[in-house]
Amino acid sequence: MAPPADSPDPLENWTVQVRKGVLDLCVLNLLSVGERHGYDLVKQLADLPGFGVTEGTLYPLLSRLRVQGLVKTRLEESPAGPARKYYTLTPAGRKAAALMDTHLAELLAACRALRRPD
Amino acid sequence: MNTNWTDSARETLDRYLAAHRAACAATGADADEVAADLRARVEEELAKAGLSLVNQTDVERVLARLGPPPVTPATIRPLPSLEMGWFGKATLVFLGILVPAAALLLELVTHIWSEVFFDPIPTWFHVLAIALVPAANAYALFAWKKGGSARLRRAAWLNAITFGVTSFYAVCFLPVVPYAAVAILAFGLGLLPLSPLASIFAALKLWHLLRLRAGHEGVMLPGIATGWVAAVALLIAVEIPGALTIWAVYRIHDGTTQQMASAVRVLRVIGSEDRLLAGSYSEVWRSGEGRRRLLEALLGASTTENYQLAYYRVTGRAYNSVPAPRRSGALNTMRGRGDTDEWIWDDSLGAARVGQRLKALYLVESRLDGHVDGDAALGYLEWTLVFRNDHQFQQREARAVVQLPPGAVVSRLTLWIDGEEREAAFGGGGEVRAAYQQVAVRQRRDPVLVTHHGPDQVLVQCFPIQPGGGQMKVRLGISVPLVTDRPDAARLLLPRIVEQNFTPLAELKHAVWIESWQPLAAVGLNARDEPAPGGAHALRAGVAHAGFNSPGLGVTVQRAPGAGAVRAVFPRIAEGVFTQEFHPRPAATGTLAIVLDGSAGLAPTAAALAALLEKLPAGQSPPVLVAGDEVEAAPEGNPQATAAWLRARTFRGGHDSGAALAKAFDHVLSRGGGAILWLHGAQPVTWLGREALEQDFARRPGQVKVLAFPAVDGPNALRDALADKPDLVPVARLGSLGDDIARVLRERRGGDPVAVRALLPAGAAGPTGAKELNADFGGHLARLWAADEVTRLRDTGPANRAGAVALAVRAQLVTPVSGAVVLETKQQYDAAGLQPVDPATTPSVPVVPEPATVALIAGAVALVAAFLRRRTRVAP
Repeated sequence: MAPPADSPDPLENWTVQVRKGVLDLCVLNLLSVGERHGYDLVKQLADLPGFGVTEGTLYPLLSRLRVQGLVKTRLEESPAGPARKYYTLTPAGRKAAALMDTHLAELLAACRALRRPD
Repeated sequence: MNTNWTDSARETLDRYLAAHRAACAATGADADEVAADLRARVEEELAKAGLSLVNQTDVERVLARLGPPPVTPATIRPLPSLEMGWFGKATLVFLGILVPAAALLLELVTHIWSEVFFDPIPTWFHVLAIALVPAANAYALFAWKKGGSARLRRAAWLNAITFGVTSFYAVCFLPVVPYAAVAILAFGLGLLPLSPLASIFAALKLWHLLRLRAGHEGVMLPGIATGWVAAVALLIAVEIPGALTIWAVYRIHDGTTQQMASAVRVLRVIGSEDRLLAGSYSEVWRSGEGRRRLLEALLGASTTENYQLAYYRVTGRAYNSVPAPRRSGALNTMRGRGDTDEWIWDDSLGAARVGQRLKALYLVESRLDGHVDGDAALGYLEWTLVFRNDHQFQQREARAVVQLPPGAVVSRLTLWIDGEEREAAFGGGGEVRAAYQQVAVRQRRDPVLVTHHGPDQVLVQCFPIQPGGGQMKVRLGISVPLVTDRPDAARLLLPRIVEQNFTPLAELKHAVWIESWQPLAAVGLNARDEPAPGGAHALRAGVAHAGFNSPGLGVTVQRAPGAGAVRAVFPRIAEGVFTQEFHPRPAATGTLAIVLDGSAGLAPTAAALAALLEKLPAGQSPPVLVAGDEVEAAPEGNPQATAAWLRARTFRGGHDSGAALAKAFDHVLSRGGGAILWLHGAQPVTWLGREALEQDFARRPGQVKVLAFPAVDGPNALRDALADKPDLVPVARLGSLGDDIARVLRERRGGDPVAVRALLPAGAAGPTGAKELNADFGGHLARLWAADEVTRLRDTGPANRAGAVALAVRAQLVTPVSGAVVLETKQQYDAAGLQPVDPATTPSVPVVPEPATVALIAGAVALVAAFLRRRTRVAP
């Protein structure tokens, strides 16, 4: 039986949820390399296939990570406009990134293991 | 370049940012931060475009690139911020650290609350508990700031304990919080009651902060309940002995016999002796009035007399046999409270009892002068006592019960007023007490009173001893019959203080100086006979107070072989010839029973008794009853078994001998009469069968003698109740327990010499070979006869009481019916209907003449003799 016309595509809904789920990890992984400002992060994430992150999504996420103590910020004056805000990982953020990585790997492994015959 | 915005452009951006703000509330992001970041990005994009005027379309174009607000899964819960503003930090420091620290300091220095409501720091434990609050709060702030797993855990434990301490005190001070809120304006009085509330607030806030920090660091902290319960339980546990004491004391005086017994058991196991002693002094409780009232409201209220009873039941000692308690020990010392500025209500002022120990009242000097005649077996002692009151502002009354030598009588009383000696007036017991109370208690002038207190005991009291080091000096003159338990010597026993409301100075030495014309030897004194001028003998010693109160202390004086009867004429007391001769004591008849006080302190007496009993042949051991919680009978028939039973028994607490005496009375009476040897200690109160016992002696007089043997010094209310009964015979303590008990048993067999004094008609020859006494010792013989006669008249019924009083007054004696009082002025004597004695009629200790005086007298005698011889020769 076909889904109703107004119901969202189940696959699209799933991919949105997955993207949102791993977006935190993507940001933390990006920052684990070094300090970045918000727009930089957007550009980097936008280049990732299947993500399509906008700044409207990214800034609330960065703010939440800062409130959670996983990232910290500093402002730097810019000659071409308002001051830029730079983000770096905190030790807690580094630890959280490692835990998330491990957890995600375990999830994927468990998920794929289900496909293998016993 | 300046960029202008159209209104619609601004509205468009504001709507977009508002939508983001709303979304941020669900995601946990900081809405202000996100809005600021997005606004900055929009302005940056528009700046890059180089527009001079930004319209709605321009804004919408940029916003489309930024994308819509995110939809974050609701399951992601953001961690709250660790940030706190300066105001919040300052509030925590003020309420959690400064307020409790200041409140503790204020109470330590001023002790305001201990005076008016509730002593929050009665012990160092309480001080530490309160001091922990600011310290733990400071540490919690530090841990919150710095983080760290171990530090956070430590801080959480301390925080929980702090919460327990503060909630305990908050509840304690709850009743006064409304007043404290007002009173905080007055000298910080309300700081203490309010500080627990402030600290509770701080502790809760810090608890929250510590958990926030722990959440950020992934640290699991202990719950608040364990520490809270531990702290509250500990603070309550500290109160348990006090609460149990209050409960048990109430039960002791207001419960059934079983409840009383169980309460006494509870007190002996877990009761606080210090609290019982404090309860025996009303003013000591005042420092913890709030705590006591609260507990008494819950558990039952008791008076100071109830506490005095409980103290005896638990310890076996009179409450005033030990120094009065300090209000809260070391804490009050630190607070500057001393014995000299503590106000005390003396509820025994002017009363016929010693009562409570008064602080800062001292016996500072004591001297005993005496002379004895071994052949006459008579002596006279003068005991001079100086009291000093070091209290800063309260007048004091010194009171003491003096144990006189056996058979002795007070025959002189002197008070120094402005350096002058004033002699006493003698009168009926009630008469002199009324005069004393009128002058001392009401007019607050300078009298001293001596009244009969029991067999061979007098009560001495003088008031007012002025504060600030004021002194009162009094002198008791005592006519003494010597103990004649040896054929070649007679013994003078020294008087001693058996109950007092003052403290002898630690360095006090009783200066003893006894003289005689016969050789002297010390008994229990570090002194030896010193030859005095004219062939006299003197014995001098300085005796520390602790040693002075041992029974048996004194001197022996040599007695010539065959010394016996003496006679004297002393018309001031009665016309005729006073005689004293020694007759063999008749053997006692009837059954003997022994009653042993089972109180603490009587174990040595039990051991001494056991040692004597086991030497008796089988079948001759008297029945032994022990007055314990119940009357216990020792095994009969086998002295060894009785002795073993006595040695194995535990002597604990304080007991009433009334029931045991009543049982022994019945036992002896049922066998045709006899005597009870009552070995007793101090029993300051009675509660068992005192009336029944008095009834026994009143209804069956002369059938059962009670030989009251004071094994331990101190007040004995039961003995005092029986003191007027002729059947109560005090036993003199002459030495060790064993020797004295053996002596009593030996005396029952009879034969030892007993002094018998008589008044023969004028001109009667008296006993054959009776030695004529000089005026000094003749006077004492007459006084001792008068004392015997007064007792005989009293015992023969009320009709002879007036005659007894008249004789006692004429003989100037303190007897069971008479007393002595020194007043300050003639008006006071007139108002009381009393007449002070003529100083010329008072006894005194003669001074042995100095060598120069002896030579002078000898020279004078020689001159007179020569003159007379010359006249004889010259005469025709």
